Amino acid sequence: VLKMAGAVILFVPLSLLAIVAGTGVLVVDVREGGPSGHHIVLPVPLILAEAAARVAPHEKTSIDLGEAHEPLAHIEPLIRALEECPDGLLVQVEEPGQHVEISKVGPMLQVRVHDGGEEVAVDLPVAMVGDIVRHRQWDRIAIGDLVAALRSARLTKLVEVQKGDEHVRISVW
Amino acid sequence: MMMKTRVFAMATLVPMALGTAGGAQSKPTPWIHVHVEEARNESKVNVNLPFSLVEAALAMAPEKLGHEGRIRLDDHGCDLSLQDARRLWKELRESGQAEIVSVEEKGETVRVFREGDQVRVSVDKPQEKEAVEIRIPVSVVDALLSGEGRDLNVRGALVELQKLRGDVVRVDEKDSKVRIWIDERS
Repeated sequence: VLKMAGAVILFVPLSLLAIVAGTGVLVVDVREGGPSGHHIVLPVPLILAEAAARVAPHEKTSIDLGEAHEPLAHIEPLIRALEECPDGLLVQVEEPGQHVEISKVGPMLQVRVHDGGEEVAVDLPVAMVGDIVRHRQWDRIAIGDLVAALRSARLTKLVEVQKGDEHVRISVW
Repeated sequence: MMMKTRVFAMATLVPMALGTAGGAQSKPTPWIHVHVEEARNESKVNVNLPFSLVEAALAMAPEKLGHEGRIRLDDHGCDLSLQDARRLWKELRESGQAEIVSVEEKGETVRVFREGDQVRVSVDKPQEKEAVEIRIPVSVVDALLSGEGRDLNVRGALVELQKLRGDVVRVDEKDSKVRIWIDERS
């Protein structure tokens, strides 16, 4: 009986853990003040974030796209073309102290910015951008849909910013 | 005999299969490259885009491009109407005239001429060490002017432009350089 109870007690958290791991976790990792400074790691289970965003009133959990909704209405063919186009360096800008590169690497659109002492790396799965655009509702996009789209970015380091002793990384596991 | 047949079949089919695969892979993707260099600002900009992306980007501006990638030109403020341009182009095309325009003044030579199946625009300012070279295939101009009324057929011109390889525009000025070319490399 004890064994059975133990198995049940273990089963519940393990199942929850498996669901959370299976549906993805957004991890925000912030370091400040070098190795001896603050280090904050905030794991956000996507399933919980999506559920919370869906339960709340739509007006409060959606983003107004403003004037951006007009070009977004026609952006789908561009995203499809980007998904299908060969890999390569698409844009490169070099100025004194500044370097920007946008490349297509497999399913990712990579943006690399070097601006003085600041390094920014953004890896955007093109499919994720497509999902977000497809799910917009005219001039608004629901945060729940944004979170759901993050599932297509599993095992991706979305954003990494390094500025002096400060380091921010946002990944999806 | 059986062995010989198998070997023959392998020797025939394998290269055919490889050839087909190679053929499928070798379908080239044309890329348009834009390189801008400004010596004064020490800046360099490189844009490399596959034509498939350019075509999709065109589709993003339907209000500018109108139906099926056609630009409607407004006659206001335009000295040459599109109908005049079409008529002029037709006459030039039929005459087969090599030199279309040639202007020489104050150390500047401007030439618009036809060379083979290309229209070339050449501006040369030797004193200021400035030069502009533009070459556009005749088929691109044909396609561009193939619209009706006040429409320029941009999509049609783009389809024709994809067949070109090499430099399209080259601008060499004292402080800046611009190069636009098409090839099959990213």
